[in-house]
Amino acid sequence: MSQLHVLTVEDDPAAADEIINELREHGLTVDWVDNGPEGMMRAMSGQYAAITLDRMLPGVDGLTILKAIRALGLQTPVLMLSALGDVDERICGLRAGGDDYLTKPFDPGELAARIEVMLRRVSQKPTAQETRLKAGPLEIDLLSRAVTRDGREIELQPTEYRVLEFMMRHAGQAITRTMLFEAVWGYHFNPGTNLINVHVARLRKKIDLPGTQALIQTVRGSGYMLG
Amino acid sequence: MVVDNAQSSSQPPNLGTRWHTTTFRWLFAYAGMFAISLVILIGFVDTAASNTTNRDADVVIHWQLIYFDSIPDGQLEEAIHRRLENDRMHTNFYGLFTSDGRHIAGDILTLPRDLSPDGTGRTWKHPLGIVENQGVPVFRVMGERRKDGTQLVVARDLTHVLKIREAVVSTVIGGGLLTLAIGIVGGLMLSMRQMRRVRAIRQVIGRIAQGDLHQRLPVGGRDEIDLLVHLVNHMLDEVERLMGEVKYACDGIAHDLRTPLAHVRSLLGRIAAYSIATNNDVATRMVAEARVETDTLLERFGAMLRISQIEALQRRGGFATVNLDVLVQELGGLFEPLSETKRIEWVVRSVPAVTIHGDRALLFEAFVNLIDNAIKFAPEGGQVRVELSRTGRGPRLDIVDNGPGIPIDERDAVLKRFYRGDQARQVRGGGLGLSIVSAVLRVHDFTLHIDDARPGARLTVECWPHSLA
Repeated sequence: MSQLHVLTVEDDPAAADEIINELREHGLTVDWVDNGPEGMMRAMSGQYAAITLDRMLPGVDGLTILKAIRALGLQTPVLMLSALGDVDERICGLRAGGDDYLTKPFDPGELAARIEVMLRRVSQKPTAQETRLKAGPLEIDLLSRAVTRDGREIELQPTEYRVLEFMMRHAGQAITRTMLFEAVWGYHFNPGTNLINVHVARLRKKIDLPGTQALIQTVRGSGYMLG
Repeated sequence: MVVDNAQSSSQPPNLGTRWHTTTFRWLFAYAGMFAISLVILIGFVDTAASNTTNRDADVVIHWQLIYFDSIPDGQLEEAIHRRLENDRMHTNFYGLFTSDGRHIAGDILTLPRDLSPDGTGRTWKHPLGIVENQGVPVFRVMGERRKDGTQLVVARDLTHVLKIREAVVSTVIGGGLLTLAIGIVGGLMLSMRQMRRVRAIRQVIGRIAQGDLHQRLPVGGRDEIDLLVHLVNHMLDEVERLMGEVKYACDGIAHDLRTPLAHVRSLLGRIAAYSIATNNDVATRMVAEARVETDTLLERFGAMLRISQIEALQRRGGFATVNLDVLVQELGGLFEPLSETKRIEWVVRSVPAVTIHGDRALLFEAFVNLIDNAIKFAPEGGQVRVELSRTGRGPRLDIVDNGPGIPIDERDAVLKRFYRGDQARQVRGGGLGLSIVSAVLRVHDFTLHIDDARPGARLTVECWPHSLA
């Protein structure tokens, strides 16, 4: 597998350093530029697998870059990073064509997890309409919402089903609690570690029967991984 | 015992209606005083006028009696006839009667019965049995007993004088009423104008109280109110500038501290990975502890910034119709597993179709904080109830636990930043949760009451606007 190149447009060297280190740990190659105009030129080349884009940049601001590359028809996934401030900025960034949004300062693990999810989304373009998801011994039927492990049916509550579905769609990827909360409940704040943990614990209890291999792993720090 | 939300320690006074009634009350008091003085004035004019006419008539009659006194008894009849003939205007009347009251001469045909013949004037309002009696008979009458025993009566018609007097009085009354009417209308118009200005000022102040500090009071009028308006506007400029500076400083501090902290946290992560790789157990444990502490710090900074963000939120910006019952069901599902881990009895009661105008995400965040607290403070195997109900004024949400409760004197303080009660010291948490709740409710103009649930705490969110909206 060829090295995936990620473009990081970030004017704060310390933050950039953090991003670069974290993404390198995940086996990604990072190109860093610290100003808007250069970021714009690189982004327009279309040669990157993903871009992390700071909202405020010297020269040209992040939103302008995002709008410009979307106007060129480039579908490169973009993770917007914003300094603190407006709550509305998230909506603004997503509306301009951003794929995801993080408020600074962020947990580098959170950033890496989100980049991975974005890369995966691009590599496996939805093949027609999926009706079944499979991850190891687990399988769910998206139409009937039936969940089976090794062919044995598992009864899940609606919330548990949604948590599992999200995890299976991102099987093999680290998923942070915040991502899970955003995807399943649709809210963008930190609800506290415990609240999400107990939901996952419940799901684990149902899908991991005694004597079988645990399917949901806890990832150091902030999240989980299925498979 | 009820403790109000930190936003205002008491209900804002309803200045509107009270102000109206004050103006009108003053206006009517002035009108009443004017009317009373008008009545007194008319009384004075009337009394003075009748005194004058009576005195004038008495003088005339008195001199006539003196004149007749000088006439010998035998010629009196003749003198009366002459006098009557000369009196072209026919304002004087005369009557001569015998001592037993029989008519002898003159055009007064009957002797007024209760007239004392002592030379004092009386005003009579009934016909005196006068020849060619016409019009309104008001007379001034005076009688006298002559030496030969006959009685002489002289009367003077006051009708014309009275007419003039009536004209004067009715002019005074009419003028007074006109002045009163003009006064009331003018006063109303003036006070309406002031009231309109005050209403405009009140609306703007309402918006400012709701957090829109960019608003300024309307100027114009060049009077005392205008002077105050200019002063208040100047003060608002200062307040806005200062608040901007404070917010900038707070955000700056939080941001400046948060960024290096985040760096420390990620460095700790890398050290942890390194110490795990080198099998250094002691270092691994210590680094893990350090990470927990940095997480706590980051969480607090996060919450602080979140409060600033919520407070800076342009009011009503992201507001839409929110189904509270749906929100409550969502909360029920979200917290059910957490309450189960503490074997807490988790009760969610709701009524269907409760809608309000608000920011769904912010309200959810606030309620999550409240319920999270309730579950934290409820004992193992305790109970937490979330109840949505409808009241006459709007929906209310009750969150009740059977934990230690919140002492009365701490109820105000818990809504302030960083406050943690004695009971809370054993429980993990930043102490900022309720401040976030406070900020969210302030944006919505809702209030939070803290009551005793005996045992435990009952937190009531009243989901309707409370200030002068």
